[in-house]
Amino acid sequence: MAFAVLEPTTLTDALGLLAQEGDAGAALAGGTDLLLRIRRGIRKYRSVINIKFVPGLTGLTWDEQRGLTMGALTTFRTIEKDAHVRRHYQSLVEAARVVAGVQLRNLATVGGNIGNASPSADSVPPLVVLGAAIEIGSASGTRAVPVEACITGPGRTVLTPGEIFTTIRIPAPTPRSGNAFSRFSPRAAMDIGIASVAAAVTLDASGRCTDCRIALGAVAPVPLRATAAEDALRGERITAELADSSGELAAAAAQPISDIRGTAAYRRAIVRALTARVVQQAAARAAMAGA
Amino acid sequence: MTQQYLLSVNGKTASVTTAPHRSLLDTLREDLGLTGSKKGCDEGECASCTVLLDGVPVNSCLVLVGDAVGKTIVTIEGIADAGGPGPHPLQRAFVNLGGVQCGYCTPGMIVSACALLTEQPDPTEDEIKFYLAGNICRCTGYNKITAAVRSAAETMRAADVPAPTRRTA
Repeated sequence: MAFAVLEPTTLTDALGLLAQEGDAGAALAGGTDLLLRIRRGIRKYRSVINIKFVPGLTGLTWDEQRGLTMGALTTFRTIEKDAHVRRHYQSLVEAARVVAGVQLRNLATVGGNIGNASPSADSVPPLVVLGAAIEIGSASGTRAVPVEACITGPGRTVLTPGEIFTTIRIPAPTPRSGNAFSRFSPRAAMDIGIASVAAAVTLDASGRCTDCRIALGAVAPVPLRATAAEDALRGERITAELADSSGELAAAAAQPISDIRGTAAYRRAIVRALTARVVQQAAARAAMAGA
Repeated sequence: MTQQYLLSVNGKTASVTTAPHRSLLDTLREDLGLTGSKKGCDEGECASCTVLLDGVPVNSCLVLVGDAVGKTIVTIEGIADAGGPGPHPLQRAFVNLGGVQCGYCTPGMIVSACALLTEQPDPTEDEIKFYLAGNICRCTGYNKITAAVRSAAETMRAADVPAPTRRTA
């Protein structure tokens, strides 16, 4: 399990090394998934390319018009403590706070969470409903991909050899909008979600839902939008009954597997309950946000 | 394939020659003889290996040795030495209130609690539980651990004990 550690100090060098090492190399961010894969013998690498010395890949900036810009190496602990994130993107804070424990959140990065592409990645449903996009850098330039389209299967992303995630951008919230996330796991800390749901809701001045996004985690190989559940809410006042029927539609849209953490039927039941809950919570936050 | 690393550990500079794939935890324990940090799972699940890196608690089993270069590292040994002669108030509170059973999780608990009390000198019980949620105690003595942290917080506020989280060489 020995490997070389390459420590590029510019993005150009990092991308060059990634292209050069190809399948024999891996980009190292927080290391909380990668080092485990190596130690367990799941993957062998000749080298890991530690990208933490590359400038510009960390840090959060907030702008009223442009929203939130954060480096791919921003840690979950930084996210959960940031005042702007706490104010505008509560769903992302709610997800960050259930990732492992404080020590691990000081290491684990949001870009790594997306890149690891676990169906249960906690940050992904919130980023999907918030309309986040991720910028991908390579020797030939940059491209931006919505987080929703970024994960192509368990452990697989749109990244090609020689590319890394550099920046995540979340649009500024629209007036009268709110968002929420909830995850179910037997233990509150140090556990993996059996299912999770994020919702973002926008209301008009009369309190009707004008826009809505619902994303499901851990119930499909890729992050899943519950579009039928979203359609049921648009144009309507979000009552408890309507939220519950959107939960039924979300449960029907889920494509869960049965595994050691729960059966498919159990996961659907959780999706139904969590969807009803986060939709109402997002709507309540939207009402509070005002114009 | 080894390399020389200069590490700032508990206020002193240490030189270590080792392979780059090794963890900070293994380097501290095996090369520097600082065996206070414990190796429980080596997978980031138990936090018995917690050290402060630039004042921030991390699982040292998941930090490569090269990632600790240029940062201040404080281990349980550094905390033990920080409060003058005798044990640190956190250590004393863990002993006095029975926050120690088998003792394996204790260094990680105390290092993490030290970081908490730097961020929040007067934490509520819920804040303590939230902050220490990653520290696993298989003896399940959590109530007494929480009580020890609350007691130490009180002692440290009264005595104005500096938290030794950012000592430099």
